[in-house]
Amino acid sequence: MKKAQMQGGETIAVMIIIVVLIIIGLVFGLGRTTEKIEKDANQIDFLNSIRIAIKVTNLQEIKCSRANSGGNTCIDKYKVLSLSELIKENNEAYVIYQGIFENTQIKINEIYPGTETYTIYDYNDSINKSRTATYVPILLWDPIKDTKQFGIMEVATYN
Amino acid sequence: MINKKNAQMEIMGLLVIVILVIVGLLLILTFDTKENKQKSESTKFSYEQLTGTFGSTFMETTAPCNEIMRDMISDCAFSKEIICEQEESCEYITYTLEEIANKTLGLAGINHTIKISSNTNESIIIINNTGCIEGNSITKTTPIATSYEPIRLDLIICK
Amino acid sequence: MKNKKAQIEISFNWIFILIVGGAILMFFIILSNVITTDAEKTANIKTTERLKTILSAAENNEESIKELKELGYEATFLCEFGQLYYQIKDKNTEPEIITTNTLFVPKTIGKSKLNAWSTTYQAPYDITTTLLLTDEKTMYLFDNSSDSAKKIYYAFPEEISKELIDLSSNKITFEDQGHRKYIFVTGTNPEPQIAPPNLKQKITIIKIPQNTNQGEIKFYDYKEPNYGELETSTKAFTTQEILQGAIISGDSELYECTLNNIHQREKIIAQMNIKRIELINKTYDSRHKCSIYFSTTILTEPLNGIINALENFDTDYINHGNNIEELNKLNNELRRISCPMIY
Repeated sequence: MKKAQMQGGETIAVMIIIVVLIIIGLVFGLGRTTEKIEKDANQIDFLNSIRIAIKVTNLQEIKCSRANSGGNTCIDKYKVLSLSELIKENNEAYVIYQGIFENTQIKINEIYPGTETYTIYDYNDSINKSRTATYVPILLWDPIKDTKQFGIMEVATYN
Repeated sequence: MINKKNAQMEIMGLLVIVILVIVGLLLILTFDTKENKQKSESTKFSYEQLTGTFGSTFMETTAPCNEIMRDMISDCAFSKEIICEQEESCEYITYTLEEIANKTLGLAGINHTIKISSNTNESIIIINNTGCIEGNSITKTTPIATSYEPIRLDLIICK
Repeated sequence: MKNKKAQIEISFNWIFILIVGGAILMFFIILSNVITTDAEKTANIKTTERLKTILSAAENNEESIKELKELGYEATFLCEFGQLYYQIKDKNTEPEIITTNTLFVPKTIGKSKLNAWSTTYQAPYDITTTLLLTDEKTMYLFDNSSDSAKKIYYAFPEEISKELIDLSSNKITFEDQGHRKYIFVTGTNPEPQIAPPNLKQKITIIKIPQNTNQGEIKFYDYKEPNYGELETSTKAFTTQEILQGAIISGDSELYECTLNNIHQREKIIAQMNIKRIELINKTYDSRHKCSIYFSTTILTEPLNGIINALENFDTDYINHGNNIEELNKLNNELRRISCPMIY
């Protein structure tokens, strides 16, 4: 009798262990799957930020006139000022550039000489706080004085 | 005796299963501890942009005295005639280059040394941020053509 | 007694085996389902991203042709609410918006090598890089007897599937080489029953004017469901780059969709340039030699002319072209007298 009880107990114990193992495996497997999808989504985010940064540095509308550009990324200061004003004032312009710039903030920082900052575009979503930024050295050209300042274009992607 | 052996075999079998599962879980966990590669792709792109065009962008920058940096570097190396904001060209470039590098590379956490040299003068200008250990650096070179001899701006980045 | 116990034990063991076995089987079935769904989602994400990356990379190349690897799926493009979307054919996925607003593409591409050709649309300054995307299975056939068609034939890169054929008899006689789509480019009006019946659904005919820089394009299609008579649609264009885009697309709806997006951008850039002129004017002393250009409407008039012409482009394309010419002349003048140029 005792032997049978022991055996029965043993069998129950085996069953419990196997069920527990199966549950652990299931939970772990599902967790991994969710993690994988999250990782894929993150990868897309980072590739996106690089894609937009490349787009911005090649933006035709703010580039210097061909006679003045040289080989570097040269940006016309007055085009920057007018584009940022237009995007702020004109909703149609904002919508068009939202399609191009998506969820980013694009700023031009004067480094030398000067310390001004110009925000060309900002994705107006206060929920998104954290950002990943890319910095590109640029020449900020003043067409009236014909001088070029050392600047940094900051393209920050909201996560 | 035989029953005892049977019981022992059963327990051994259980133990084997549990050990296999634990080993499997451990293997999966080790693969899971890969660094988040995707984030570093975005940082890498930013780093390449910042360091790759720093030199060429600096060359074309205009000083407040309306001299281009490229010309001032040439003057510092050979003729020493230009005075900008009451400073000789060599002093002015050293000060300016340091300021720009600190505001860009320094802020991005890129340890660097900047060296301007020619075939006849190994150290026209040297700016040492934190110094790099010999052999533990990457050099980005920007050539400068002058009417005397070629000059180079080396941006030495610590790994 | 012992016998009964043994029997109970055996049956209990069997029940135990069935329950546990069943549980393990269920686990693996659920796991495989999750993995399959995940794999499908990943495949869709990868395809989406692959197309986005192809479009971005090609978009940022000036004036180049790129042969790309095969796109494993067929993608269908459509225009909804003025935006270009694409959908993976035969998959139950939602249409994805194309963020590259300047893409000229046929209705369907895929399952063959892609060709991405980027050109710059200028009016007269750089407006945007246009991306002309097509694949090996889309064949472009140019009428040998039409000078303008031949000019475009030679402008098309070698990598794109193209041929010069004789359409002088106004009848299409050729063998179906297994392409998905045949786009004929000619300078003459095609007859209504020009194509062999079995090929009608694969054919689009585009009539282009003598002047490849400005004019009207006529798209002729055999429409569903009967593919009977040719149906026409007329659209305007300025610059050869846009004409090339229309030919690559071969579809008047998709062409119009992309052209409208390009024109929206052109309008915004013109407005931006007007603002820039105003800003420069504020900085100039009235005695400065350049101030005459920036304080009067000399420069803003053609820019406003471009904006107005874009409102009704199909009827006003000639005005559009004229204002572009005028702006070009003024820019050269500004360069000559060393004043800040528009572009």
